[in-house]
Amino acid sequence: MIRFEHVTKEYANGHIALKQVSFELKDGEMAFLTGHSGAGKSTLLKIIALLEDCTVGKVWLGHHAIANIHRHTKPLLRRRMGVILQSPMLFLEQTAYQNVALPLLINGAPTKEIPRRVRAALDKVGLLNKERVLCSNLSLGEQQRTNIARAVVNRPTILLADEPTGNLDPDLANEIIQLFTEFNRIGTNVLIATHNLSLIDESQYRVLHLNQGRLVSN
Amino acid sequence: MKNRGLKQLFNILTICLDRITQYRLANLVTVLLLTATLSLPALFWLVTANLNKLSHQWYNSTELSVYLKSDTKNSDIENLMAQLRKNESVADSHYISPEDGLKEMAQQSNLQSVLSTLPNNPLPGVIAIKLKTTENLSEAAKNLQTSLSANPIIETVQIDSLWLQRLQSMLSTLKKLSFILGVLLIIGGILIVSNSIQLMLEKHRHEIAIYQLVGANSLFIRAPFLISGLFIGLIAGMLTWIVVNSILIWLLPNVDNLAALYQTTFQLTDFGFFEGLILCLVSGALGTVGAVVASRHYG
Ligand SMILES: Nc1ncnc2c1ncn2[C@@H]1O[C@H](COP(=O)(O)OP(=O)(O)OP(=O)(O)O)[C@@H](O)[C@H]1O
Ligand SMILES: [Mg+2]
Repeated sequence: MIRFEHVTKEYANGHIALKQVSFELKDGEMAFLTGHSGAGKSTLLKIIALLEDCTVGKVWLGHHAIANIHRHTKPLLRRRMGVILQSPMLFLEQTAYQNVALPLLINGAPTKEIPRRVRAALDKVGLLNKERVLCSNLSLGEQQRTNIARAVVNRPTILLADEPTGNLDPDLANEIIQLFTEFNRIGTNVLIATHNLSLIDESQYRVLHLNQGRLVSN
Repeated sequence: MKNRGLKQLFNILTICLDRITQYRLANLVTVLLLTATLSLPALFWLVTANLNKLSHQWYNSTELSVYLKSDTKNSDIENLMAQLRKNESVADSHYISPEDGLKEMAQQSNLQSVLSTLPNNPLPGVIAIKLKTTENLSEAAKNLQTSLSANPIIETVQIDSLWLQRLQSMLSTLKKLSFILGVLLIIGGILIVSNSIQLMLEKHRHEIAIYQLVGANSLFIRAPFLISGLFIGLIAGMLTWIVVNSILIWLLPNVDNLAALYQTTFQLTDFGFFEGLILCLVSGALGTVGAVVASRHYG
């Protein structure tokens, strides 16, 4: 469960990115987050991912109020999330395989299980044939899919995706959304920020629409 | 569960080692800067230690001057001399009569004409005493002084080592100074390391952000930097040890010459294994503290 109560986010330079945002995403719910560029979509996702603090209001992650989470607890909560940021966050000098294996290593997954799970994740995004390729040699779309594979490899309970289909062609984009819905079917909370309205139109999922930091339709 | 913890630790150590080697975090410039910073207090300590030793060596030539009352009878003087010859702590003693004293003074000071106009000899009789060398010579000198002071024919007993006492007080000032210098330069060293670790952290911000994103904890993120700080400190400690000992070897002929001039032999206190070990430990701790300070906001 993710709940925002009158959340306002003001950045250090005084820019207000979110204004009085309130909504609740129930356990196992999936939703899209839309709005034009600069509306505050990434900011909202970063607050849930514990990468930014909110200035005013309260955010609940399950029974945790974000403001009260100790900084040593944050990494543990992050291990249960899959976070896909707008800019690829990959080790470019490492292979796709190594990048996807990282969350498993950090979480202390059994060594025997790691190759199987990494390949399963790469397979889901259609990159099994590229597992040995350095990320710097992957196309932007392939990097984005590697990012997605890494986000889902640890079977997260919350999946946050910021423009996950930005560099993908429509067919691939649909496949990725399909992948997210599969995760949602097994109980994962999914929140996807996107400009791509055609993705949303085709789906029956809930849409949160931001306009200049305000939540205008829910 | 315990197995999983071990597994995790192993994974983390592997990645950590990998990161240290690929970052090449052991920054040479930092090591050299820290070496320069540490060499100064180390040299200061060495100078102090050697002066200290030298002053003890000089104490070994301590003399006492016993000033007699002017109307002392010769028999009393001879009694006292005999008593002194028997005393175990006295190596040598001889009597300088007022006349001898006046002659000596006239020779030494070019005041002959003035001295010859004096109506009578103003000088007292003096017994010069040289003490035997012992561990605690100043103590022995003081003991003899108190025991002699009780004698009614003696005016005063003076220990002729005032300048040595001055050297000693100067030395204690020097020791305080080197302590202050040490503290200041240790703070300086911590700042040097923390500053360079901060630059490294800045350089690897993107990587750190990725590690944070996938749930790495604070220790995982900071470990390579803390270990680098430790290594910077340890290597700088070893280099300092080498630098200081090289300077000593370079100075050694000069010290020997100087000692020969004063017809003494002087063995320079050097920076031995034990001092080197302490230096490395202090320096390693300093590097680690610097890294801890630099990375306190990470993770
Ligand atoms: N670190 C920051 N410091 C200051 N202002 C920021 C910062 N990050 C974002 N902003 C501002 O906050 C507003 C919202 O940014 P955000 O990245 O959330 O928008 P977005 O909806 O994700 O846009 P886009 O669709 O272009 O990705 C923008 O006007 C942006 O300039
Ligand atoms: Mg954005």
